[in-house]
Amino acid sequence: MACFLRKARLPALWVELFCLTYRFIFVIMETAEKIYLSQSARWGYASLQNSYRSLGQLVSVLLVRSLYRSRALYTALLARGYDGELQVLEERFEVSGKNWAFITGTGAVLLFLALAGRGWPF
Amino acid sequence: MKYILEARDVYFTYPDGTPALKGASLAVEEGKRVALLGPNGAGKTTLFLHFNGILRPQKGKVFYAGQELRYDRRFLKQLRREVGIVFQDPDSQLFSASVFQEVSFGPMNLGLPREEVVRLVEEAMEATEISALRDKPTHLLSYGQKKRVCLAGVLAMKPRVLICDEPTAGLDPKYARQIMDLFDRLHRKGTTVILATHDVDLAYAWADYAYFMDGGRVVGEGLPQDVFRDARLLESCSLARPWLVEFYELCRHMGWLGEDLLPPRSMEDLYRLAGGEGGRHFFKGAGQNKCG
Repeated sequence: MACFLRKARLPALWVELFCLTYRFIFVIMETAEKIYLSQSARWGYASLQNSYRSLGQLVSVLLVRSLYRSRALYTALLARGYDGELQVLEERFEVSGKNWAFITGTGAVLLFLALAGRGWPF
Repeated sequence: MKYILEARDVYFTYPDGTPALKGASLAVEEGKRVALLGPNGAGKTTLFLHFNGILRPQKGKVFYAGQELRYDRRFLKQLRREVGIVFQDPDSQLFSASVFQEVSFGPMNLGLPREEVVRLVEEAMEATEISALRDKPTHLLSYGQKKRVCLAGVLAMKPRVLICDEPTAGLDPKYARQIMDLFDRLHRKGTTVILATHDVDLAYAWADYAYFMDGGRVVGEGLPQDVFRDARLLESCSLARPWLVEFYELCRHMGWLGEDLLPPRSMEDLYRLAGGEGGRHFFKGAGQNKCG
């Protein structure tokens, strides 16, 4: 995915942001799940009032933790020689005749079906 | 004597006012297995961050291979290639969604040619036994797997000094064993390995030399068979003595062991001791006292 974005010549900063966001969606979700679980284990969502309060706390803690995590990540990246650009090795994809044939074939069928649905060429 | 890493009287206070290091001094010999022990908040991680130039001492000096650290780009780049740090929390180190790309980050930063990077990545994944995970997204890995991916990411840079913060914390015994075996292999190839840990039994059996930190200072150091017997030192660092040492001291106290015997470093040592000259004496003694 990132490889495609890079090939499309989007600025490196965008691509990096995209990759980091993708990775951290999962980290943040996992953190939120853990906080939610630990809150529910202590009757955090037992009543409506509790739920409001717990949810508020969850969001604020999540923000603080995300900030902390971003700092820790920056430190860890520096330790591995980060100097402003997230360079990783892209997998190389070969141009494959089979794939091209499959893609154009499917495309043609879909196009035909779409047109046929509109009453053309019949 | 040749020191690969040295900190001389280093002071560091975090921007929020927490004093983390208050005159820490430590010197690591090249090619040794070194354990750094101390309670939470003793300053172990902060000291590590000084060793590859991420933090700058506010007072004191840090040396790498006899050279005082300079903080220009070129020097830091070289330093960070040669001193690798594996952090305790894998989620703060992993940034990529793919294992292969994650591991390739370090060698790519070194500006190596593609083939070389692929070779280093493969080698590191092999050594940490994560080759099967190469195409897995990092968020689907277990904690132990993440930890090994982090280690691979640092190993792929072929560091001369490997620093690991709590490498076995949170791992099951099998993988903890494997990681320790890996450290031993690296040690045999000449890598200097430094571990921070709370696990006194592990440090005692593994290390060539041990340091103890407390309150931002190095409060004790020495050969494991000497320092780990110092109950007062260990207690001041909120640590307990390794069970092998406890057992040895008990045996000596009961008069089951000769004065000249050194404490056993491992289970194998203990068996040998039990089977040897002092050991026969020990078993007889234990029988007579009807305890132990």
